[in-house]
Amino acid sequence: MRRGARRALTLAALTTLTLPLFSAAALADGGRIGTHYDPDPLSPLESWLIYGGIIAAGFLVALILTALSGGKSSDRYRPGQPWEHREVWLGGEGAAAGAEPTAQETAGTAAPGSGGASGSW
Amino acid sequence: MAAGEAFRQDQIDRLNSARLLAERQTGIGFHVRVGAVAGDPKAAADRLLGEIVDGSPVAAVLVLVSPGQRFVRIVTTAAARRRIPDVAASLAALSMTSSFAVGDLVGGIASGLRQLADMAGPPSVSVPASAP
Repeated sequence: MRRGARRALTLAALTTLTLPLFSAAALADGGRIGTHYDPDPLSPLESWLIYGGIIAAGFLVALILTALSGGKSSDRYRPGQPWEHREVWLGGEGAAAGAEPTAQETAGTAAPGSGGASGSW
Repeated sequence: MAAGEAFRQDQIDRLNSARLLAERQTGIGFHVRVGAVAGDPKAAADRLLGEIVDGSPVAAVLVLVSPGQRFVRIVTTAAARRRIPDVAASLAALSMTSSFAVGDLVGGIASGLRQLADMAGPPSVSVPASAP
């Protein structure tokens, strides 16, 4: 959650810094922008809404999406972090879950003919 | 996700679906355990699979994942090994560790189970069915 809040703060700061920059073009034209179909100049408010508002809305959407996904990602497993959850069994719950084997039990416990493979990351 | 729970319910459902699909596809009993292991992980996996099959000659596979120790072990009984050789299990383990390394535990286990099931193929008459 702290990570998500930090991301949200970063995005908010970036938005605050870049918004005036992007909207400067809208303010600089002095409202003299028209189109072929509508030659009347746009008002400064309309210009700002088109050139600055769209960008602001984009940042806002990104900000909301980041804030929403931040909580979920904090639950994600990260390699190297300690695993402090209870053990999870999917099938085979009949085995002695959590029981620590003695040294005698662990010696030669593989059944004859059994196989398999190991991996680490 | 509640505190202390390793997976959300939807993740558990996804893993269970992958496991049950593998069992239906192959007739082999697939078991997955995710959690810390005391002592030698390889010996623990052998011991746990031994307790699951309880000496019966069924085809069964145990996938033991210890995220804290960054270790995965796939153990096959003798009957399962005839259909999933060690080389095939190694490939599945490699596929799983690739996903685990980027933090995708659920995806890694699900794809590993699918891979093991694909390698085993459909059940034949001579292979004993897994205990329910």
